[in-house]
Formats: sequence, C-alpha cells, structure tokens
Amino acid sequence: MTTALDTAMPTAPVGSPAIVARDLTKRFGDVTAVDGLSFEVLPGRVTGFLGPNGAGKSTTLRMILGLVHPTEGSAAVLGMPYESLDEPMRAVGAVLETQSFHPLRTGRNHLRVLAAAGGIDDARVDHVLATVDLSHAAGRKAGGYSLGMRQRLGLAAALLGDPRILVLDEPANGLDPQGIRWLRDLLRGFAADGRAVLVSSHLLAEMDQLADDVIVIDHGRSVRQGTVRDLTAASARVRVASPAADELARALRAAGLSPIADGDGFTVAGTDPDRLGAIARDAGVPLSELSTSAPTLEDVFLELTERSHR
Amino acid sequence: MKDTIRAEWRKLRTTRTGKGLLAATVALTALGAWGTLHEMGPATSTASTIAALPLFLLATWSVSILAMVLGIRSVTDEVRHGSLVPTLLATPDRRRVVGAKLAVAGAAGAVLGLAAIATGTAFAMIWTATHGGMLALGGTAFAILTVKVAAVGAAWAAIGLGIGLIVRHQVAAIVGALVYLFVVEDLIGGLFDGVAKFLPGSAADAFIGMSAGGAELVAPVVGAMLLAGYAALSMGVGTERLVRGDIS
Repeated sequence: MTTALDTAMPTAPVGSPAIVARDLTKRFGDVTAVDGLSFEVLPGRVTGFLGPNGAGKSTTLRMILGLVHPTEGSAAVLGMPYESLDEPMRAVGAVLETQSFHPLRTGRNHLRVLAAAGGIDDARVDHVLATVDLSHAAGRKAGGYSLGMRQRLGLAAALLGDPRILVLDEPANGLDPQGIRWLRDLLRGFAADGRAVLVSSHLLAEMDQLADDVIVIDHGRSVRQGTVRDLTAASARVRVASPAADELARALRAAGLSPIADGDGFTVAGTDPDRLGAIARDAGVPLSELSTSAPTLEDVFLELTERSHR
Repeated sequence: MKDTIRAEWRKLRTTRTGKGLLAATVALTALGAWGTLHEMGPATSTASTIAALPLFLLATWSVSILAMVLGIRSVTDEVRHGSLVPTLLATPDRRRVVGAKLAVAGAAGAVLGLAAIATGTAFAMIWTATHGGMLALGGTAFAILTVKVAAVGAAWAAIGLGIGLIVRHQVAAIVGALVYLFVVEDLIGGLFDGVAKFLPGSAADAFIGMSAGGAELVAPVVGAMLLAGYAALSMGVGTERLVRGDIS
C-alpha cells in the first residue's frame, strides 16, 4: 500500500532541504506579520518552530503551504512551490487547525473525502485511523470528538498520503500526557525514517525533548536558528562563588568576563568551568562553588524573545 | 479533476445538507402545488401540458431558492467548519476546486429541479384523477420544460456557489440572497420601469416561458442568456476572490 506512494514524488536530491523559505514576508495592510524570514527544514530531523503568540508562525506555515500569498519572498517544498506539486498530499501532510472537518460527517467519511481528493486508495483510511488509535470512533460524527480526538483526526488526515514531510501547527494542544508522548514517538519515528517534520509549538519543555533543530521567531523575524544543543549550550552559565568575592570579581573582569552578582556568588556567561577554575587559580582566589547551569530551551527562548522586545 | 469531483461528491453525500435540501424542495413544491391546484379548481381536469404550466412556475420558484442555498453552502459550510484548509491542501489549484464544486452543485441543482417537477406533476395527476379528469403530460413540450427547470436548478446552484465564494459567511450569504430574491428584486422592479424583466428571478421565469401575475418577460432565449450570464458573473467574481485571497 505505502510502497506504491513513493513513485510519484518529486525527485529532490537526497539530503537536500525538504522546505526552503527565502525572505518570506507577509504584510496585512500596515501590519507586517512575517518579515524577511529565511530557513531550511532538513529531512531526517524534527524542526521546532518557536515564537510567542502572534510572532507569525501560523502565517509562515500557511505561506509554505500555498494558503497565504507572500508579499515578498518565496517558499519551496521538495524544490518547488506547494501549488506546483503534482500530488501534494503525498509530499506534505499538514495539521493547521484543531477543527477542520464538518461536525456532522463521521471521522471515516472526513478522511474518505480527502482520500478521494488526493487520489489515495480508500483502504489507506482505515490504516491511518488505526495509526492514530481512532478506529473505535471512526463511525461517529466528528463533531462529538474530544479535543484530543480532533487532533488525532487531523493527524490521520495528514498521514493519509504517507507524506515525505509533516507540517504541524501546535499539534500537542488538547492532548493528554500519554497523547503527547504518543505524538512525540510518532514524530521521532517519522524523522528517523528520513522524513522531515516542521512543528510549531509553545510547549517548550516538550520541544526540548522532541526537536533536533529550532527556528525561533519573534515579530515575524528570525531570532535564532540552530540545533537545540547549540542553542542551549550557547546560553550556558557558570556559577562561581568564593569567600573572597571581591577579588574573584576583579579577576573575572580582568579576564574580560562580566560576572553578575547572584546571591553569595556570581553567574558568568560565555565561558566554561575549566577556564573559570584556571582564572581563579592564577589569581590565587579560593573557590567555594563552581558549577554549570544548562538552561532549558524555555530559558533560551524567553531570553531571546525578551531581547527582541527591548 | 476527476478526483476533485469525486471528493466534492462525497462531501455532498456524507452530510445531511443535500438530502435536507432535496426534502425541502419536495415539501415546498408539494405545499405550493396543493395551493395552486386548489386555486385552479376542477378546470384542470381537462388540462394539457400548458394548463399545468403554473406547476412549472412553482417548481422553478422553489428550485431557484433551494438550489441557490445548496450552491452557497457548498462553500460556506467549508469556511464555517474549517474544512476549506484540508480541501485546498489536497487540491492547491483553487480553480480546480471551484470547477469540481460547480460540477457537483450544478448536477445537484438539476436534480432538485427534477425532484420539484416530479413532485408537482404527481400532485397534478392525483388532483385531476380525483376530480374525474386526466392530465395529459406526455410529449415534447413537457420534456423540454422539465429539462429547462433542471437547467434553472443548475444555474441557481452556480449563482449560489459564486455568492458563497464572495460572501463566505454562511448566514450572511443565505439571508442576503433570500432577501434579494423575496424583497429587493420586487423593489427594483417597482422603482425602475422595464428593469425587472432583466433581473435573475424574472430571467428564470422567462426561460421557462411564464410568469406569475402576467409580469413582462424577455424572450426565453434571452432569459436563458441572462441567467447564464448571472451565473458566469457570480462564479467569475467568486473564483477570482478565492484565487487571489489568503486563507488565514
């Protein structure tokens, strides 16, 4: 069933980006929702798309998927505009809204409508219903589904075409902890299979465990892009304390660092414990504490977005 | 295109909208037929196709309203429930989506037309039979009128589809369109002499070849062209709005 789907895919070279955004800009009247945004989403990786509410995440995803026309710039999916894809459902599966179905239509019929539109065999409908654990409710009207079930139905629709790329806007909304874990496993497995996942979320703790790469945007502009590891490492802090606090501070400043007073010690950015230990030793200052604090993605995110608000 | 039409057809079949509008067409025509035949009295017992003309007028009237609502809802249901997004993700070519909707809504509108004629005719036959007469409805004239009513259904579905694409908001589109049909068109006719016969409602009557209360009509062929023109205008503006606009 699924093997037959691979044949009609655009033949982008192996390892080339699944999605490329170049200077994407969208203005609604006087409001600039997205401002010169460029990024790439790579196959085999989960890319988190982060930003505060109103940062332009949904507008960006909609521009990638051909729903919103960019004012400037362009987006390509597997090397071409989404509108030019021959079989878009086999290229990209997307979930953009919690409710995207007629409430009086059954879950199965909702998927059958989309299967028909995508030229996908009806047998695939029951397959994806089982994948998202919704088979038991397939014959019920979707309007009676819980929020979590609606998310699962949306995911089922996205998986219908056995796509190369998944694009999900806040997919964890409404899922319980088990559901979130299930979603994480699903997306990790999808990426492990060499496919690409672009997922926006405000659940940063969740993204810490899920994403390989992150794109942080604020006010429609890219604030930071990179791997989760690099991003958190760059913001790592070393905490250091000494009974001779003043001498320690002097030594640190002399070494070009900017210690910030933190209780009985200091927090220092842009360095590592080895170097701090050496500075203290050379200055003859005894240390009572030397530790690193690895920030969570949430810490980094808040720092980045607060900085861009200043 | 075949896949897109198949998807639209499944949409129509898997909710109650289509069935509900079919039932409403039958009910509205039946109600009207009962009243019309009551007014016509036993004279109908000698009726030919021509004497049954008021039934066609009635069928045209109920089909105009309900086929238009069907056309409107084929878009506004999707806007209202958010299913327009997956529809356009599956088929990014928006003109193709509109084309498929036109094919399915047009066919469904024609079916409503046939249902209305069947209902009206059944009533007329029962009525004349119970009054000791026989309604002769065979022949080309009856067949042509039946086809015309079906075509009116398709045309109004297209007009409704265009309205739905332009207005998008379900309640506003339906209420606005009904207010136009029931109030505004009459008002325009009353205010501006000689204009009424060119308006969509009168154009449909002209195409069928009859009018309520002997209002002035254009020739049937002109009526057909006007009706097709209104459908093309509504569809054209609606399609452009969908193609150029953002789905956000």
